[in-house]
Amino acid sequence: MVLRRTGAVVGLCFAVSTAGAQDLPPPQPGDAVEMIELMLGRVPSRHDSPLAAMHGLADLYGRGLEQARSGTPGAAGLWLLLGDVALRSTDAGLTQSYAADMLPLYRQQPDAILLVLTDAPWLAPSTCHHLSAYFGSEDRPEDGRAPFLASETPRIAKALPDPVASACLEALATPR
Amino acid sequence: MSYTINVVRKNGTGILTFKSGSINISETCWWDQEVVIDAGSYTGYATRMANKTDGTDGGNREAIWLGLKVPYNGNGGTANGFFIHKGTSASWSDGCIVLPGAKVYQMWSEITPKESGNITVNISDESVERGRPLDWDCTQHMHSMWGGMPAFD
Repeated sequence: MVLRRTGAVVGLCFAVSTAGAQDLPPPQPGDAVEMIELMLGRVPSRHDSPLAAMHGLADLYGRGLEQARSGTPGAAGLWLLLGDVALRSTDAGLTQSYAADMLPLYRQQPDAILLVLTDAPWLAPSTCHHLSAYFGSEDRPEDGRAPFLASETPRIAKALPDPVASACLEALATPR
Repeated sequence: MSYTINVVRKNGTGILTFKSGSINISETCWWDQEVVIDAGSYTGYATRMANKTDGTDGGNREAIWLGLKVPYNGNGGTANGFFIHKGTSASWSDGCIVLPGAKVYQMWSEITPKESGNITVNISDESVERGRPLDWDCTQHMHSMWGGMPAFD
């Protein structure tokens, strides 16, 4: 009886999570292919030169950020995924851009960002890295870090699984 | 027209030099100490960073892109997003080389055409030589002559 009830709860959670993901539109095919090629360390095939690929990546970033800002369903997740790729692939220019733009987006729509991280907690390390990097980089002051951490700790702790939340909060508390 | 930018690194900072026409730049530069481009020669492109809107002329940020597959940290890894761009310290860098915006703009403006691989960027590390040659060791010489130093009791 207990097992059946537990199974029903787990099944309900899974159903809710899956239904949420299914509601989102798929990414644009060209963008999806570019993202996969970037993850594989390839020069995206839709660009005909290295320079075009560099500009194309900047466009992908800018388009994704704009869509995420405007609340386009599914856009925030794709933009966070590109941020993860940028950090893992040591894309210095793109990582600097994320350091500047991630936190303002989070301030605009924290629940949407945390929902992405709930569905894909493996995106939390890069996302929290970029949130943390906002403070102190490009001459932005460090003194906003403590108030941000204080105000967001309850929200992050509530939204994310304990280990993920702890790691994220630790990253946010640690100046570069 | 082709251009050359030299970056010589030493003890955490570097000197970037650029000469063309009447432009003669020699300026301190910085980079993220955790992501260090390998010394070498790279093809650069004068361009703008599309996602940075703080260019000196009011447009997007002026920069020199170092191309694809640039090696870093001496461990075989390569990356595509290294630039030379404006910055006042290493906090402006995740691996890019940064220097004051006025100097970047001066250099960037001189380079034509833009969006062309017409720049050679040479990055090198200045070796540090310490000390001086050892003096001639007279006692060692005496050892070899006498088969050992006499004991003075």
